[in-house]
Amino acid sequence: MKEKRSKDDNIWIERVKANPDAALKDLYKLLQGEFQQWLGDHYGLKAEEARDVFQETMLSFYENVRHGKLTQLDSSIKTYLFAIGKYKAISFLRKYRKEEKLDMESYQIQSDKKAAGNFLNGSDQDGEERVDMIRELLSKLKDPCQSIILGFYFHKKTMVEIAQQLNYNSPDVAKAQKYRCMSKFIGFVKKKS
Amino acid sequence: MRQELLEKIEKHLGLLPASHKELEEINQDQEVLDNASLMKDFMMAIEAHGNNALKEDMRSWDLELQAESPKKDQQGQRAPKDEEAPASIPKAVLEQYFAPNPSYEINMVAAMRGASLDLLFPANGFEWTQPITNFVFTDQLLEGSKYRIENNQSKVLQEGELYSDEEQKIEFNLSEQHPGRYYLKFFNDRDTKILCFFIQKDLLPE
Repeated sequence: MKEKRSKDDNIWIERVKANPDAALKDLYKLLQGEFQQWLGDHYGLKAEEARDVFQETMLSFYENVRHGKLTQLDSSIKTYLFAIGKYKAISFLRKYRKEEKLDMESYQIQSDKKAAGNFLNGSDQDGEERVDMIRELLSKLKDPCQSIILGFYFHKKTMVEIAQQLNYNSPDVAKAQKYRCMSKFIGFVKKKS
Repeated sequence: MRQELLEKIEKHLGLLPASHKELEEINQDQEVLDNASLMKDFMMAIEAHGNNALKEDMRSWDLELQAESPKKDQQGQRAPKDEEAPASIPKAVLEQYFAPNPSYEINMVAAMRGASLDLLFPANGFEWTQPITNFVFTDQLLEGSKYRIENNQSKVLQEGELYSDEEQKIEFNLSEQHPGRYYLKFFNDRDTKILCFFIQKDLLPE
């Protein structure tokens, strides 16, 4: 039964690869209520916190599919997601409790350690600023560049899939368009840096 | 940025397939290395941007769910039955896992001596998938008795009366309780019976 269930649920991986938006939406709607109630009952998370943990769980699942880390399920999709959710809830609680306990003294110690770490390792402040700046520029991107860049770099779609999605005649057209978008975008980033 | 250079960087970052030989050459190309850090920042930004976009979508799905059924979001919606849901945990394991109320353990032995009353349901603890549930007993309850549900700290969670001319039914809201050991006490002028039960939720080893 377990083997059959995991085999059946592998369809979710295929669906997510083929059409992430629709598949994630269906999965989200299927499990949201039960998952969030479980987080509330078992880990005492408030509704908003449970929602955040559930969304992070869905993102982790999608990330694992996108990056090819999850190609086959050994359990049902529900068991898989609840296992991720359990880990996320515990991490959330640890972080939350840690923050609650943080008084000024320990904050000072943390800050000193961080400062020492930055001194030893070299601060990554510039890198972080650049990432933030690129994020801001990405949010301003217009279509078709937004769809192509997100499709290729985030959703890991092939140029064939992107061409189909945007009704281009061939993958080469999509590829040329992607190059134009990226070239322009990198130009903006360099100019802003 | 030239197309050739962009493709080389994408190969360098594993975004496009490349042969071993090709990679060796690319990894020594200074122009690729100079631009790789910018591209790495771009990839970090696109991950964050993509995740944010997905979270936006999820927020709209939440709204759709609320519109479809306003109560679903508050009460939790039951997903299809899953054969792989946490298996029933033997009572002996639950007894070890959840601390008893020491004074009740002694009372229980005395109160239940010779009694045929026990819980048919839940045999091994209530599962977390049931928000509100009924107890099922092996025998008739004490006639005209009162009942009280307590946790293992003797905190009274629910109490009421059982009338002999009505169905002897006790409904208990599990969703408000934590996993643990609980006691169900029946008492009238003549007698007292104490049963113990568990709420296991999805008890799994940490």
